[in-house]
Order: sequence, then structure tokens, then C-alpha cells
Amino acid sequence: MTVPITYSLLRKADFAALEAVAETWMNLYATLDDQAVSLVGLKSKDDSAFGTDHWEGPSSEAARDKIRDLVLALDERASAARRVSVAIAVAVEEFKGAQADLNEVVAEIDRERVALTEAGSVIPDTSRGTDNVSYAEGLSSRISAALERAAEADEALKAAIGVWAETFSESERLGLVHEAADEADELQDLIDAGASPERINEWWNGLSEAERLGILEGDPALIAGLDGVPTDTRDAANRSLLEAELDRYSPTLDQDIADVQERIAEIEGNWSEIVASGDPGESAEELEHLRDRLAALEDERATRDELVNLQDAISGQARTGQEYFLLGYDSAEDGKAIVAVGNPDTADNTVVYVPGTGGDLDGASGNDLARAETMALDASQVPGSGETAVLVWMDYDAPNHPLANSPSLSYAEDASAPLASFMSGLESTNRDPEENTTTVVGHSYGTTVIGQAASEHGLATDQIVAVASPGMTVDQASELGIDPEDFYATTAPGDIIHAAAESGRLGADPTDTGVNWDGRQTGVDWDGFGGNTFDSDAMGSDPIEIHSNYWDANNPARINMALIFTGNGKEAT
Amino acid sequence: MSQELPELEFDLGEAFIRMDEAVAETIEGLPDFPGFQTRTTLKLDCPVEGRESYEINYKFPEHTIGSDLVTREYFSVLKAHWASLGWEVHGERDDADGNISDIQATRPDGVNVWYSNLLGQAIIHAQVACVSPEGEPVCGPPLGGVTPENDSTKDCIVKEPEESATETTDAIAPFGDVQAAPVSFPGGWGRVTRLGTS
Repeated sequence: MTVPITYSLLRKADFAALEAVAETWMNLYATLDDQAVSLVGLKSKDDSAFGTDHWEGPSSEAARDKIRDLVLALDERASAARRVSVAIAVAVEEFKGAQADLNEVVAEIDRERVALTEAGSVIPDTSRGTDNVSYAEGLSSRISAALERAAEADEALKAAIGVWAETFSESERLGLVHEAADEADELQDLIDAGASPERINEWWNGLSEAERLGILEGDPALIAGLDGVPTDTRDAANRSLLEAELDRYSPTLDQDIADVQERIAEIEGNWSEIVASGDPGESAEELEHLRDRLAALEDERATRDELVNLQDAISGQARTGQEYFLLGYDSAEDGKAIVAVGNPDTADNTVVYVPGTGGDLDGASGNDLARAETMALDASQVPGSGETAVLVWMDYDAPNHPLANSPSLSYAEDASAPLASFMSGLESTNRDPEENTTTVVGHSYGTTVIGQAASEHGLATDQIVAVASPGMTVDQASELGIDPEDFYATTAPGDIIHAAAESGRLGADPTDTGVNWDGRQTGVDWDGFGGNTFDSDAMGSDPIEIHSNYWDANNPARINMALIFTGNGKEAT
Repeated sequence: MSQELPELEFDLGEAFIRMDEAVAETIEGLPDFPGFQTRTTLKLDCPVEGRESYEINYKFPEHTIGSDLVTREYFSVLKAHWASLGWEVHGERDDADGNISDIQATRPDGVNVWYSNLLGQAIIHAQVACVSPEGEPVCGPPLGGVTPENDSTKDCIVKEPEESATETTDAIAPFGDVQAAPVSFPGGWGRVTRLGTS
């Protein structure tokens, strides 16, 4: 039962205790997170205490599965504790604001014109005319507004604790969802009408916290991939969907595959006898059916394993100490995902990394995510840079093979609108877009995607960085919708991509300065792509390996990118 | 210019100990060493299928940002110190103003150490490229007085010297007839081994 916030309660309230509670929840988050890290260490490698080198067989598998479940449970609770702590801190801020509003009114009151009761009622002195009545009404209205502000914060806090600390009963949870049903319908209408991310964000910000949580609890799929919804909320929605999707896989999937494999082996092992029996038709038909079933089950297992890898990859903290945020995922075909290292809504610098050929769900939770962490750490070491959030935007169908289909523009054309929408969404959810430095960085075909999106739709970004670009569908940086001075490109000597870039099939080479080795212009009407170039090292001699070496151990490209991402591009070499 | 790193003779089980060891040998040569503020491990790109690259990244304390000690003196000191250890010095680069900003050295066992000045912030990166992912990735306590809350080691399991000293001594002596010599590590790490050629 909630105690109503009255005038006297708000006037006397001391929020120090509540602030201490928020700190306790944050400490709980840290403790749970540390425990999860310790448990991960038990099975992280084959040589770990519970690793395959030390323990094999069904019991060991069960133990490792159990550890994984424990880690995920700890991670989920750690995340919930963090959200409760943040919710309390936000509520305290609101309560203090409401208290300050109230105190301001009280301090202003002219006691010769009105009387203020202990309950907060304002009584006008009507003995000297009616002016004091309207004066009293104005004061009452301001007192009511302050009390209302506190009540709304209290309601939001109750809902947040109910959801994240799971103190709500099922009926309370359903009540929260029911209360937000109209808003969920309204949001669906907005989506159907093609509302922009800015409009979605504006609408979302107009909801009460209880309504937002009601939508999140009732229909996470509605907001999981919706540009304009704040990162923290999208993350909660996507994690919820991911867990639900994994729960739908049969717990006997691995055993089912083993059973089918065993039956296939049995038939194949007896095949000469079956043929000798004179009627192999039935067995041949069964074998064909079993092989089809095996292929389907193995596909299912591969997808499940990719999702498990994603869930594992975003549990705990990043190497930089930042949180992971899952802003979207899709398990269909090669799979897609948008994963952030750090919260782009609150970071000082935001980097959106668009991988190139071969990018998929596996990469977004593996190699590309590792690159994102490297970029985040490098940027964090630039003095005075604040926090840099780095996102892997793998929300498009990337070409699978460079020689087979990378030169086709169709992949970039399909990715163009989603990337533009995503960037607009980030701009709208950022708490201070004027101060935040946003950079979109692409690698290889990812730069083609960026070029297509920037030239076709415009991208809400301050800077664009092209790493090992085969072309960005344009001839000059000025066509990318940003000041060419905010465009940076690099391609290492010996990179295989030089051939593609020089062919011009996907646009001009972004590293082409328009100047020959002898200092002369390369063409009469051509003064280069424009913008800036920066150094990167080949780090090897294999042209294919060079193409992937930009985030390698000691490549100077890392330092240069860190400088650019933190707004120090002039210092890049 | 950087160089291609040599084939490694150790696996992941030794990689972090070796990287920390290389950093310890590096800071031994630094006069007025101010300690470190943070230690962070990173997993990096390796183009070789089935192999992994890692880095240990040590950041110098804030009060050293922009000081002559870390932005000038240490470059010349390290150049001589690394060479005296028999390491191959390389990767010297200048910043946009023409001041030296990066220098690297590779130990005979393939561990690369990179000292960089990022707008006045000094950082030491120790790196192993494309190591075989065999073995439990153990690392010792951080060097240079890094406090536990500033020690981010997601890629290795921190073990106290007592837990790992014996196995470490054996584990990091890949060159059959080379004696492992004890060396003191600053920042609380009591004893590890240094690989010497003499």
C-alpha cells in the first residue's frame, strides 16, 4: 500500500536514507557481477577448473551447463539491481526537485495576503478585497504541482521496483501491463504510420514511467528494435526476447541429434545386409528422411548456439568496465545484432561501427564486439575524453564472400534506410546531442553501407571514418552530408581492397588525395575525394590479412581512431 | 614502421604472465617510475584461424599526463633500455606536432611492448599475436600498484604469486637450456622469472 505524499510529508522529507538504499543496490550489483565473473572463470577455458581438460563426460557437461545458468541468473539479477539503484536515484532527484519547488512557493508567500495551514492549504485574506483569492489560487496550484511531481516519481519508483526487483505479484504485473494497453496500441499506430525516431522518442518521453514499464513488460517485441526508444529500455526488451527465444528450443535438442546420428550410422553400417535382403527401399527412404531431419536439427542447433554465444557475450561487464547493451537481434539466416559497449544515451562520445563482408550474428558477439571493446578502451585513454560508447551495428545482411558478392551495391542499398533510422534514433535518445561527438566508422563493405546511407538519407553523425573502403558510392566526401573536414579515411599499404577501390565500381577511393607521388594532380577535373586520411600499418605481408589488421596489436590506426572518436581528429597522423 | 611478429613458442597459458613480465622488465629501466593507474586486458584480431591475440594495457597515473618524464624522457630511456635487454626496438612514430609518440620493442620470445603518448597520457601495451589458445590463461597481480577496482582482467584469471610461482617457473622456460633468472616485480608481485640468454 502506498502512503500518499502530503504537503507536510514532502516538506519534512529527508532523502538521505533513500540515497543510501540506492547505494546498497549498486553495491549489490557490483557484488553479483563479481560473482558472475568468478564463476565464468571456472569454465572459461579447457584448462579451467571445470574445463574439459579436467573433467569430461555427462556430469561435467551438466556442471558446466549449471554454471552457465548460474552466471546468467547472477547477471540478470545484477542488471536488475543496477536498474533498481538507478530508478531510486532518479526518484530521489525528482523528490528533491519537488521539495525544492514546494519550498520555493512557501518562501514566496506573502503572509499578509494569505495564510498557510500546516496541511498546505492557502487561505486568502478576503477582508481587503478579492485580489488575494486569485493570489491564493495561484499558490495552491503550484503546491499541488509540486505534490503531483513527487507522487508521479513515487509511482514510477514503485513500478520500477515492482518490475526489476520482482516485488510485484502476478496480478500487479498484469495490472501494470493492462494500464499501459492503450499506450501500446497508440505506439503501434505510430509505427504503422511510419513515425520518425524523433517522433517516437518525443512520444515515449511523454509517457509516465509506469506506462513505459507496462509496455516493456507486456510487449517487449514492440520496442526492442524501435529507433527512438532509449537504450536501457531496448536492452531490457531484447534480453527478455532473447531469453524467451532460447527457452523455446527443445531441451533434448542435442540428444535428438545424437539419436538421429546413431540411427543413420546403424542403417549405413548394415547397408550391405539391407541390400542383400533384396528390399532396401524402405531403409533408403528412412535414411533420406533421417538425413533431412539431421540437417534441420543441426541448423536449429547452430542458431541456438549463436544465440547462446550472444547471451554469454553480453553478460557481465565489458573489458573497459562499461555495461553491454543489446539494442536488437535477429536469428534468421546469418543473423543480425546491435550490441553496445557502454550506453550511447549517456556517453560523451558515441561510435557506431559497421562491419563489412562476412559480418553476422557470430561476429557481433565475437570478433566485431572485441574490436568495439578495443576502440572503447583506446578512446577512454585520451585525456579528458570522458566515456566513449562503441556500438556494433550489424543490422544488415552483409555479403558473405568478398569475391562472390561484395561488389554488389544491393546489400548497401538495403542497409541504407535502417542505418539512417538508427542514427536518428541515437541522436534523439542521447541526453546531450549537442555536446556528444558521434562517429560512424565502417570497415570494408561497411563503409559502402555508410556512404550509401549518408548520401541517400543523411546520417545524424558528426564524423565519418572509412577503414579499408572499396568505395562509398560517392565521388567526394562533400556528398556524404557532413563537412568534408569531418571525414577520415585510411587504407593500409598492401591491403587487397586497393584493387576494388581503384576500380571505382563502388565510387571513388576515399583515400585518394588527388595527388600523384610526384606531387602533381592526378587529373584536370579531379582534386581528390576530400576530407582527411590517417596512417594505418600493414602489420604483415598477406594482402588478405592486411585487410583485417586495423584493430591488430600495435597498429597506429588504433591510436588515430581513438583521437578522432574523441574529437581530436586534428591530432591524428 | 612495425614489423611482423615472430612465431610464438608458448601458448595462452603463459601469455599473460609473459606479457606482465615484459612490462616488469620495461619499468625496471624507468627512472622515477610513478606506478600505474589501471590494468586492462584486451582480445585482439588474429588473422590465423584457431589462434588468438591479446594485450595487457597499463595506463600511467593522471598526475603524469603531459609531464616531461613520460612524454619525452621515457622514450629515450626505453630506447636504450630495451636495446640493452637484447630486444628489437622498432615502431618509432611521431605525433602531428613532430614529437615522438610511439616506440615499441619485441622480446626474443615474441612479446611486443608498445609505449605510447596519447595527448600526454602514457600507456604501455604488452601484446602477444596469434597465440595458440591452449592452457589456462593465468595472470599475476597487477604491476605498479594498480588497485583491484582498477584491474580489469576479463581474459585471464588472476592468481597470487604463491599460487602460480612454481608452475610459472616451469611454464615459462621454453628454451631448453636457458636458465630462468629471478627478477623483482614492482607493485607487490614477489617473484617471477625472467628469461635470459646469458
